[in-house]
Amino acid sequence: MNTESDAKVSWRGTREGVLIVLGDGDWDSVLRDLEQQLARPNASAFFRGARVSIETGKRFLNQGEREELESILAAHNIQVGAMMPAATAAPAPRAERPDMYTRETEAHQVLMIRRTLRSGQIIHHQGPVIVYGDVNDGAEIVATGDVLIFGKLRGLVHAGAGGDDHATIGAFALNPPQLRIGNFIAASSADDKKRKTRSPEMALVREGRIVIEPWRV
Amino acid sequence: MSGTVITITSGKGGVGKTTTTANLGVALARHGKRVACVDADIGLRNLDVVLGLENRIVYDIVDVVEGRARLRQALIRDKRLPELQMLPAAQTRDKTAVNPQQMMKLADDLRAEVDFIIIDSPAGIEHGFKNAIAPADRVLIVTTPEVSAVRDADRIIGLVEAAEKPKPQLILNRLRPGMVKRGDMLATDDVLEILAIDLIGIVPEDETIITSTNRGNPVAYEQKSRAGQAYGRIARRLLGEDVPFGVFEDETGILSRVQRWFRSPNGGGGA
Repeated sequence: MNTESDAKVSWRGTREGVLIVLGDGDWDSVLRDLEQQLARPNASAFFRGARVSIETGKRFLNQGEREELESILAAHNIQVGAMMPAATAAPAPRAERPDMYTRETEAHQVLMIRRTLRSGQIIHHQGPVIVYGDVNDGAEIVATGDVLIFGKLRGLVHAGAGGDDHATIGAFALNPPQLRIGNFIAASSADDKKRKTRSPEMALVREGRIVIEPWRV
Repeated sequence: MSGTVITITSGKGGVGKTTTTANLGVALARHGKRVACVDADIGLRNLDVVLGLENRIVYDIVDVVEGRARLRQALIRDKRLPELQMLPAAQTRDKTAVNPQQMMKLADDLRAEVDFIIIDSPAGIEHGFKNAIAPADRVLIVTTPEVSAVRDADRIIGLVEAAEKPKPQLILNRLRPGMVKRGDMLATDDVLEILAIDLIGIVPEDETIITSTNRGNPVAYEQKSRAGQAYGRIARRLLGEDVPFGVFEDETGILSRVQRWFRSPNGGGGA
């Protein structure tokens, strides 16, 4: 069995809501610890109505683990928004995105997708993803690197999902319901939906928020 | 010659799969083709009502699959149109009463009997959908010009591709040209751009569908019905004819209403 301190689950309030932080211990003991903590008398009051996101430590959750986690939280009436691994290194606190920088990750392969991703098709990849086709409403890409789409983006993309706030999302037209880069989330407004785009665009984090700009390479 | 299996599916419910199945069945049969419409929506039988054959059901699809009835016993022949037959769904069982292998066997038996087998798929992406898609030679996706229906159609197209079926074709149902013109409804081009599959037909919104469905008298029998004409064109395209896509005028638009008054002083009635 793992040591107690590894398996600890903690939570804290942030500007965006409540963040649950999972320790790096073995998965079953983390889940047990989470259940015990949620069973405490004050726990439910703390979570009531809050937007909850989860930092999953050094691990990427697979589908099964994700569902286990969601079912435990659902039993306590907690709806989960984002789930992301902890940032391996805090991104450099500079306003401008550097032209060249290294990422503290292992060497990753680029995933190339030569078709349109349709609703319900989900891609999780460690590294960058390139799509030659559209990403439709209801499709989802979660990548630790950049996501470049040679087509239209109407679905959900999380670039820099390991906590890399320097990651970018590029597409011929950006019309997603939501964009996620690193630890940032931006939801589109009603005005965004009407926006017609004529030239390729990219999304990136500037000064602490996600912005969309013409795609300049 | 062996018959072609055409599966009508959509993902979302209520977009017109059963109406499409019934009307394409009638339209193809009117071209002299032998057609069998199969209701694969086990537990929620509908096709029999739309075709007006509900009071003649003796055996159903589950009886055939489980060997209690022969295929020819269960098939109901339409008295108005002898080329058209229907295999009803069971109302008392659920989707798991039949599996995809049994559907393929059933379709193979039907291929020997008729030219076209049209399978009415249940809504959803689960067991019933998998049954309906298993024997398909062609897949027609029905959607309405609504964001939710288009998203579900997109999902279904992905699943059809994953099942290694030929690329599906699209029927855009219940289009209201006036609303499209005002920018209140997705236009045909918008839908096609998202789904990126070929269009095989556009069916305009038509109130006569409701009465014809209730009476069990598919609009494809009616020469005057706009929807009926649209199904006729889809049938001709299925038979390999190159039928141009027309531009629809909205019958409820003020201009067309005025025009109809001028055309016939008693006008305004049936479409």
